[in-house]
Amino acid sequence: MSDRFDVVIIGAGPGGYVAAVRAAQLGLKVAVVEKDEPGGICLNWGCIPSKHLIHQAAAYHALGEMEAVGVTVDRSGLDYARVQAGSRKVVKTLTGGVAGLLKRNGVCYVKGHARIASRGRVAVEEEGTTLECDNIIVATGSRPMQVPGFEFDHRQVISSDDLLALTCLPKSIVVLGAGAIGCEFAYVLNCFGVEITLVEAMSHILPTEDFEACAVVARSFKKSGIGIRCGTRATGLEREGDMVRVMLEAGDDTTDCVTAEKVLVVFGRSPITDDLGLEEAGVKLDARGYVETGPFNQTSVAGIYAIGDITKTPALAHVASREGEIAVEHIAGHEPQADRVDPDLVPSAIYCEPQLAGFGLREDQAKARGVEFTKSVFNYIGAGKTIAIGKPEGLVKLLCDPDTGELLGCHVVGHDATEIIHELLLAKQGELLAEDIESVIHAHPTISEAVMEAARGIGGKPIHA
Amino acid sequence: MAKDYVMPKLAMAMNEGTIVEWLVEDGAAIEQGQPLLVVETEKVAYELEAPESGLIRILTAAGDTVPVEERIAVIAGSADELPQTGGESEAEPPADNIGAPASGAAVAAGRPGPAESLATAGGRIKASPLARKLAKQYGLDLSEITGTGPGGRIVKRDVLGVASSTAAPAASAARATGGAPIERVRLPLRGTPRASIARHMLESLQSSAQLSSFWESDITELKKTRQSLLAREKQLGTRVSVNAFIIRAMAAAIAEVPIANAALVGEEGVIYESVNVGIAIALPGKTQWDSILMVPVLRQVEKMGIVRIDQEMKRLVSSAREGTLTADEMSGSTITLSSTAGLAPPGAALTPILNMPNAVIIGPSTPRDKFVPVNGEAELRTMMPVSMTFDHRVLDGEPAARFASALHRFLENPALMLA
Repeated sequence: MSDRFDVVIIGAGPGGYVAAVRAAQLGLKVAVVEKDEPGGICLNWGCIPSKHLIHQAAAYHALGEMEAVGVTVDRSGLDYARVQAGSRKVVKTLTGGVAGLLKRNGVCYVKGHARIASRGRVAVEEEGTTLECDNIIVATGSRPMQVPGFEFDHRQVISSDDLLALTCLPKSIVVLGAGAIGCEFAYVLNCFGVEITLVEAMSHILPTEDFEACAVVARSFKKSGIGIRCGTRATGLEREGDMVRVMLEAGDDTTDCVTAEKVLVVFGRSPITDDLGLEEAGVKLDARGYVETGPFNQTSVAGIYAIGDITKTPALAHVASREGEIAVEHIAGHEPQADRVDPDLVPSAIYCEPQLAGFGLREDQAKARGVEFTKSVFNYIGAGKTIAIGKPEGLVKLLCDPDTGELLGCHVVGHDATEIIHELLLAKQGELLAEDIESVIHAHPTISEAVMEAARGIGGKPIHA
Repeated sequence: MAKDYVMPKLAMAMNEGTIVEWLVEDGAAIEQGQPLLVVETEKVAYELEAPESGLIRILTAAGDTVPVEERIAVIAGSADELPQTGGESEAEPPADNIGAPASGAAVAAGRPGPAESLATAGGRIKASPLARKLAKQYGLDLSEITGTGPGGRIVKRDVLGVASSTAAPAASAARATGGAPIERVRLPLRGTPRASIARHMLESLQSSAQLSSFWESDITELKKTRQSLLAREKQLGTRVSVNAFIIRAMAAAIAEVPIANAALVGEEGVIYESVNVGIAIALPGKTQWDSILMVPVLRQVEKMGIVRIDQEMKRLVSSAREGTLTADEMSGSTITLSSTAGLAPPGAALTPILNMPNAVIIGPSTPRDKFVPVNGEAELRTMMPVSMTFDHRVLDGEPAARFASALHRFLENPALMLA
């Protein structure tokens, strides 16, 4: 492997493999180094297996609906090991797909731990080789955040990776951190009958989402029996045989504790930027280990790019993929549409039921920044379809510029929200206005009618409110 | 024969109009009386009808603001006349330049000037809906903006780029020196009501010789008289306002000093028989920047009693608030009333700016109770400050002072104005 590459990509997650394929399409000679399986956390230990679990959980939970029409359901045969096996099978199918994709595009796939030896040189330890290249894209992603006092023992105190590998379910679990990961697992485990306590230090679950949308999820969670403790900090752990006790402190300084078989610690994720030779190469990291990037995801060192979870943009697979494309197009001398991902155009998607998806300004941000806005909220229940399919919980919330009608922020919570958000996102990116969305005839009956109605609420009055 | 269609003068004070929307397509056959376009002047929008039937060639795109009497379209009797109407009539192009007569592109090749407007009106400009709206708000012509969006589409950043480059250089220079104040917001002037207010005010001060004077009128009696009218509110059908008294007093004072009700029109002074009082009304906008100043006109006040004045004035004010004033109701004033009573601090004196072409403007303000000598005794009386500006080109200090004194006398002795 003495050939010189145009670009070497470190990490074959959704950032790295998409960058590799795009680079190959643009005629670059490209290698990607991965120490694990292709597909990264997303495919192996994140989005994909969790989506399979969520699907299984929802199907299991939906059995209950049949009881209303006289079907007797015997749920006693649930074999969680088989649920788990199913999710690994899905992972295998998809990682195989990524490997094939890389191969078909002529990407050189190198297995091993990569380290930047110097500018233009990437050493792969296991192989004992060094790849010579003009450009390096670092796409090493993130790992579950370790917090002192809550260190993973991978048995009782577990990370999201551990949870995705469980083959039998605990009776009870405390979830520390009610972000997207915490809420999705809380939903899955609750569907399978696990007793859940969800602990969040901020004032509401899903603290990076719009509070009004989150309230819908919180209401639904509470109704289905999930214990929610917001404004509450976990201060420590005590192991008691097979159980773990979590010490809690509420905002008013009152303390108590909650005991469960396992504690899932999902405070967040940390960038993987150690042991890569980044700092030795002169790449600037911030205090928390994130890589500082400029236009086209360039680092402080020419010829070294950084994308995905190791940068400070939202840690989402679709952000990493787009950043990979931007970096590669820059390397190839093409002009990307934009020199960076516009955070206002990145949709968040949370896959518990009800789902939550959104982008752009939240109402609390708008108020804090003094941004004037017109707000319209349309409840799912006003769209007939939601009643017909028994999913009336949810809402579409739009924040628009009062003068132009420009969409500033859109938040959808409820069934299929993660699919429905894209009409609004397309409108935002295409600079369509609320009045344009309103004027589109939406098929009846659909949940998307709620989007049309919410848009109508900006300039006038919805029909079904 | 092709005929020019010009921006009509819809109100006496109208100097330009903004084409909000063409209601017909360029090149379309139109019928006399058919709604043709919407024109906006100082927040009053008018729908205009086709003056005759024919085929129309639109020369000025929606969103543009053009002076009164400027040609904005041509109406032709037949299709053959259409391409020719696009050019300057004195510069007939060679016949071979016309090429295909019905094609706008052929015309464009022959005559670059007007062809640009043809492309704007007839051709399709790719722009996002948001970019279109912003361009309208900033008063920018989309045909002059280069698009950088997908497929060359004009998007928000393109419009904002042009808007900031046309308005910002002075500010950015100041910023470079480090001494620039922190800005709260930057607001466009073009295409807003403020543009028209700004121009009128400046024109007024630059084109006339304005002189102001101030005095206080004792309105204690006026208030008493008003109270007696308020007691009969049901019978009269209105709560007669102080402003109605002031307007009545103005009419009475004009009867004594007619030159206060005059204007310099071209090379002639005109003294009016009708006393048409323009009443300045401020309508709040979303911000103080886009608030609107309107001057609806109360006509032939000299023939009205005080109750009628009050009713008519209130009708005009509510029409102004609803935006339903007609062009007639907003033009033809011969003198102006601009009151700051209740807004300005008690006793405020102002220098009202003349509402051209009126020669006099009266600006009463917030009254205050004061001890004043009455027959050698200190008495608590209600004193109303009155400011007056007059155009010294039209009248001299002597008649202006006589008019002020007459007005003062009527305000202090309401029985006289009712006589």
